[in-house]
Amino acid sequence: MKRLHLDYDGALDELRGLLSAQDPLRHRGPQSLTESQVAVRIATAMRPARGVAAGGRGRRVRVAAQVAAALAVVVAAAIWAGGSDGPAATGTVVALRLPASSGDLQCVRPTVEGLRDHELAFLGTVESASPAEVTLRVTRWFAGAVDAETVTLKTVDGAAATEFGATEFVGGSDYLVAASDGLVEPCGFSGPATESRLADYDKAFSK
Amino acid sequence: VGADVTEPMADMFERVARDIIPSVRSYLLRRLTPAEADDVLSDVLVVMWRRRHSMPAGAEAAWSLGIARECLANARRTESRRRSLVECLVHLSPRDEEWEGPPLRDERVSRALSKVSPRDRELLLLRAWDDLTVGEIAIVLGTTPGTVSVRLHRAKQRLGAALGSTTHAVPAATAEGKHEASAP
Repeated sequence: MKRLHLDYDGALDELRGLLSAQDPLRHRGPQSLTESQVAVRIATAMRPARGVAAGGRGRRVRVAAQVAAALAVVVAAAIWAGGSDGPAATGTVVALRLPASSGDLQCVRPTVEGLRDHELAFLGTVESASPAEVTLRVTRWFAGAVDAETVTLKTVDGAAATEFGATEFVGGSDYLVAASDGLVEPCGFSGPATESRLADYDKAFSK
Repeated sequence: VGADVTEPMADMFERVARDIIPSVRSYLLRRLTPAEADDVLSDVLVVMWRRRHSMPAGAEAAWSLGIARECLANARRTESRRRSLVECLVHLSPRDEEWEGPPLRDERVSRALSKVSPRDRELLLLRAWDDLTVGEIAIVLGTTPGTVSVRLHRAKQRLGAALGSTTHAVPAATAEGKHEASAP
């Protein structure tokens, strides 16, 4: 049986030690947030009216997409050094194409492995969204063009860029986008920055 | 100081937010479940952004914890409304102890903490768990360091007395729902 004596500072320090030993985090050890979770939270806080992922959460990924023919990555400024490895963007804008949608096909859930194969992957916020073009400001590159701050998206067939399969690009909202050969990957790989999609990107592209 | 003046507000906010997220999140994780803590963290960042123009240079961390404290209280009000409804529905009596955080390992300390006032408890834990200085606690609570110092000293004495009284109350099995007399 132990009794604390309170008339001297040593006992008060002892008290503090006693409390510190009960710090829940001392035993639990906080799992820190990933870089992208931090980025999304900060970006979302700065646009409180919207929130992450308009229309995304829990919605079924219906589909979109028939891979359209041609695309090309066009990096404004200077780009893809012909024949070199991978995207070598030196400009500040990367232009990607959205494949044509062919109605509501059902997609399988994207896998982390499938995601990892993409040359470009980023988290970005829609700065402007018009049928002609969607512009995203990149919050974080997971793969590819790390110098570019902005990505533009246009459809290959002239359809509205704001509607990409089940994904609707809304100004101020955050999206995760994966692309290869200049073409944005539909079918659940690209879409609103939901927590689960973010976790998939983190897993796929963590070093 | 001069360099900060030219830093765009959004960049400055982002830098500060990155700096303070670990300590704010730890503060919340000590007092809520992990899922609740992450929800409230998002609220804290939103409030910080709204109040960014009053962010005190050099005291951003304590200022952020002050906001976290408000958001925590708000989350608990919501939770306690839900809980009291559940308690009404299943005819449970409200809990005696007032410690609302995760259960502590040491039953004796836990009981002693339940016996001191919420205000004492908050001060003691800001100091012992969050490792804040008296000056930082003053910012969190919106008061002066002198006041914190005095209150903290008294809070320690009261906790010491509560600990003393719990060491005498040995048989834990009988205590359910019964208030023991607190030490004078």
